[in-house]
Amino acid sequence: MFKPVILELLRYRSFIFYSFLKNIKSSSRNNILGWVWVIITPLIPILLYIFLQEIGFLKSSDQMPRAFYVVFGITFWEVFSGSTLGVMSAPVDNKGILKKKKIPFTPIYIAALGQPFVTFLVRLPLMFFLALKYSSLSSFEFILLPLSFFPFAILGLSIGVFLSVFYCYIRDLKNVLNIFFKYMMFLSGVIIPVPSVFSQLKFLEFNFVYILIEKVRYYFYSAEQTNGEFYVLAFFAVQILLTLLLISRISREEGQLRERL
Amino acid sequence: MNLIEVNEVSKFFEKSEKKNVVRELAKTVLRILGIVKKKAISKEANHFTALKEISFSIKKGEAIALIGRNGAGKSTLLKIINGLYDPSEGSVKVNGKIQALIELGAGFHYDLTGRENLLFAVSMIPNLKKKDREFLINEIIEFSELNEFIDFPVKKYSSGMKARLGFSAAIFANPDILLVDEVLSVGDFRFRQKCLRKINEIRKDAAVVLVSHNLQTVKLFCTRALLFDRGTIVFDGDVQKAINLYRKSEARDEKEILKNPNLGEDFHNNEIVSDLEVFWCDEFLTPRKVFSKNEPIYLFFKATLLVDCGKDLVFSMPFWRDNINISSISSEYDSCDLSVSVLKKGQLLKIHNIFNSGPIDSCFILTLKSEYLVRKILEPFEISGFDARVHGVALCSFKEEPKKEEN
Repeated sequence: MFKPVILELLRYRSFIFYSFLKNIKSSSRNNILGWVWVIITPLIPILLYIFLQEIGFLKSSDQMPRAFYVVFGITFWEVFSGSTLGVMSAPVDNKGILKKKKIPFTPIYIAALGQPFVTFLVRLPLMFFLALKYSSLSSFEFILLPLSFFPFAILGLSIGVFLSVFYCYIRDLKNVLNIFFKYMMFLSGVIIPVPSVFSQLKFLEFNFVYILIEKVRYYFYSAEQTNGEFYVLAFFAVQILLTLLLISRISREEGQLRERL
Repeated sequence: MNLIEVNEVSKFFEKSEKKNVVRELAKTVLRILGIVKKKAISKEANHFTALKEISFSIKKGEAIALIGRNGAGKSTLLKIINGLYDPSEGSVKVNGKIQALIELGAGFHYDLTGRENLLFAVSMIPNLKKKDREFLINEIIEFSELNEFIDFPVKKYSSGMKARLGFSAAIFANPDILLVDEVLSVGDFRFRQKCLRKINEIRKDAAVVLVSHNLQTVKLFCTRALLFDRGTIVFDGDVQKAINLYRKSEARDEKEILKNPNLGEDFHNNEIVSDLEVFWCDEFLTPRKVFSKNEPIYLFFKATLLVDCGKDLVFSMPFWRDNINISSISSEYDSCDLSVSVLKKGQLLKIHNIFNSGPIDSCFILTLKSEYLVRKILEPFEISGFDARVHGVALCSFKEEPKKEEN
């Protein structure tokens, strides 16, 4: 069942790369700063949070330094939300190609992970710096830090792939999801611990992405205090299987979806 | 071996998308989740039929033309063969690699350079190694003759240059089956010949399916033609026969032509002119709709004039082909008696036929000074005998002349 999907990805590997490159290049054309925007955009909110902490506006309510908490939280959240939104709208954004060329949906979905990947790469040095400064990780655990992109990206991919079917029919979905992601970031403890904001709304902690973020964040803060790696690995494995299953199912409906684009 | 086998293919589309969006979405999601099994979509009341039980096959080396009016189902069939649409009923079996020249430059980003866009276009060809990719890009650039401009943003290209780049990018994929939809009018005449030469080259080892309204290209290029009418194949075989049938069906469908807004509207001032009768005929007043090339065309008209208009009454008649005004006749230039008594008996006009083969639309007009009395769109007549090598709407003739020597 999964073999055709994996073969498809291998066959179209150069398309995935050039599609991603095209998106990045076309977004930086006609800008005075060009490529610099790719770095500046994801860095600004992070630098803002660090600045707010330095001047004492944000105070840590728990043992984890707020800068660490915010940088890791916002990065993982944006990888997840960027992947979900990007993958969900990928078929519609590429309808010019999909309606004229027989390109399968799978490489289009994967290419959509390019943008969140760049966001993650730009923030990675900062994450390394904060981990070095505040956490007590071994060198092996440090190596795992770049890999933390994948659980969130794969989660975003699987949700995005499923939602892309809905988005082919109902285009309001992107606006709804945009609002949802923006507000959930603040309401569910991704960057501000929930009790300090809405202590009465503890159910917000049941945002499962927040739980995943919390596990990964604590793992990189102090590996000894959590069994996050097992949780994440199990989650990751299930997620990959689920995504492959979903993609192989959707590929059977590609003709129907193309007509809707 | 058949490269394409189309078996009993039908395609239905919904008439109203908005009403059924939730139902269709629910069906798709249930199929994806495996709750409902995928089955052939049956025709429902809110569906219209784009293709109805189409069957044919194409062998290697064949070049097939799909001809028919707009909305006949040609492009939908091309999309089904290309795998972009699923057939509602029936099946399509394709043995080989398909390349479609459907919309040139699909996916091009105008802010990127020609080379960057080519890199992206070539990356759509699966399993291509880096070395082959670079070789292919150089070949494409050479073919498109855009070497000087290839590192310029595509937005700075002329429309011809964009089309050349798009065509070149699409044609170099070494397909077994080439699908061409109305894109053989790229660039200038020399480049068009180059494209046709390239397609002919590909054709030796592949099959070509061509959708075109340009019957001249179809005649010169294809070995077989399928004539489509309202989603069905009405003829499959010789290209010349298919073209003749197509032209006849076009002329037959008079009502649609008469509705064409470019020909204007009928008008009749009953207070001045009544009992109007106008028709195309031969010299014996037998009504005719088809004339041969060079054969005189006769027009008969009679009417009762309720007011004597004298010499201020003018008869004129413009001729159109494909909504383009190509010629006209008028009593202002040629003598024509439009007196009350002559019009009551009827006037027969012999018109020198200069038209090339094809349908001709016309309009009978009587004016009194600048005022319209009658404006009647006539049934089109047909000039028979299609020849792909004779061009244009009018026919120039010649005869041999002995040389005259100066003393």
